[in-house]
Amino acid sequence: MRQEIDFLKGARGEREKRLKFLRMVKTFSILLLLAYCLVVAAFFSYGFYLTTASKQIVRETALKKNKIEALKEIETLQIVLKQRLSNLVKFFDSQKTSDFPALLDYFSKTTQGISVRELSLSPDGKIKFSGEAAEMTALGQSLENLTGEEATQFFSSVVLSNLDKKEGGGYLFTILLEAKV
Amino acid sequence: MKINLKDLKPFLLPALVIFLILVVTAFVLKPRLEVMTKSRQQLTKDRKILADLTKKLATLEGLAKVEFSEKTDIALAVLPAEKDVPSNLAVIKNVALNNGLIVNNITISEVGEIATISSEVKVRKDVILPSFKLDVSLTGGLEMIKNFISQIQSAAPLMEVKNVSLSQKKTESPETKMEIEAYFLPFPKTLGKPEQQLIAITSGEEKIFSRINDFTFLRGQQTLPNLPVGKENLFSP
Repeated sequence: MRQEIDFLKGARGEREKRLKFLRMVKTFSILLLLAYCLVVAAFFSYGFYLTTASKQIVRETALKKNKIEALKEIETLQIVLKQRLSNLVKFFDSQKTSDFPALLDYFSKTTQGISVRELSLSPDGKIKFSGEAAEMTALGQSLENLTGEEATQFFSSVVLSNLDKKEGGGYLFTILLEAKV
Repeated sequence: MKINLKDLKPFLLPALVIFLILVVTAFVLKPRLEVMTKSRQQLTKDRKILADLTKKLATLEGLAKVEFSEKTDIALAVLPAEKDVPSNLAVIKNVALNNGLIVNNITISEVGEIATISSEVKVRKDVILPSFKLDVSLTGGLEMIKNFISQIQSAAPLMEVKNVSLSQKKTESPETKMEIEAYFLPFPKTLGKPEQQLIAITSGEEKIFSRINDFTFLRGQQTLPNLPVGKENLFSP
């Protein structure tokens, strides 16, 4: 039986391996270059998209601004109205003063037979009421009215601070009241 | 060990590719990336501005000009942009006359800046509405005073009665002294910037508008009296 002996087998194998490796390196390099080119192309495309989109938005913004400028008059009206109304809301909400017309109305109804000498009302609710009553009954009636059930919705305190009998008849009095605010 | 250049030849292409990648990345892509990051951020901002402008434009187009003009006129009559002393005096006088009251005296205080820097009224932060005071002295009955106060507080321009002091001597009609606060409000400083967002009028503000809409507007009626200033026709007897 005849057998062939290849003395270069080892060297050939080495060479083939090396050639294969070099081919792989070459292929990988080309693939890497291609992939990189794709990345660069995508990068520049995105840059182009950003520039185009930015230009488009700038154009649209300018257009909208022009349209808003054309409607400036109505915008000004809205801003002025809004400013006034919002301040009025705060103003009316913060108002804590006595209801002067209601108090005066109540005084005019409940002080029959009494001549008012002085009536001062302040926004913090302090009221000074001085007057003259010809008879004690009239004064008594007024005091009763000012301390009655209906008066509790107007006043938190009613104090008769001064009462003098006049020489010629009649009574001078001063009542200090605290109105509810 | 001797290096054979022929052996390195197959590695020339990969080395060139890596070199090219590094050079292009460092000198082209990196600076460009910074620019692109900035322009992307700018684009996001611009998009937001555009969205706000679109919203604002839609709101503005939805507003009825005539209606807003009328409403603003009413609001400006109630709260003038500056101290409108003649108008306040005319209203006080008219309301007093309508109620049969005699105006004895009106003293205006804290008007200060009107003649000099009225265009730039400095509003204190704790004050909701800037104001000035009018001290009014009136002669008339309690019922008339009551009506006067209630009418003056519901008439344009906005006024508020602060102190009331009523005194009566034996036979005379009672004299009432009162302190009236007259309000105004300068125009906003940032008027009509396109980027500024429009803030819608709330239901609370609508309610306030219907309240001021019911105010009495005395403009066009009798204003300050015409005082005789001498002969108009020198040839008349």
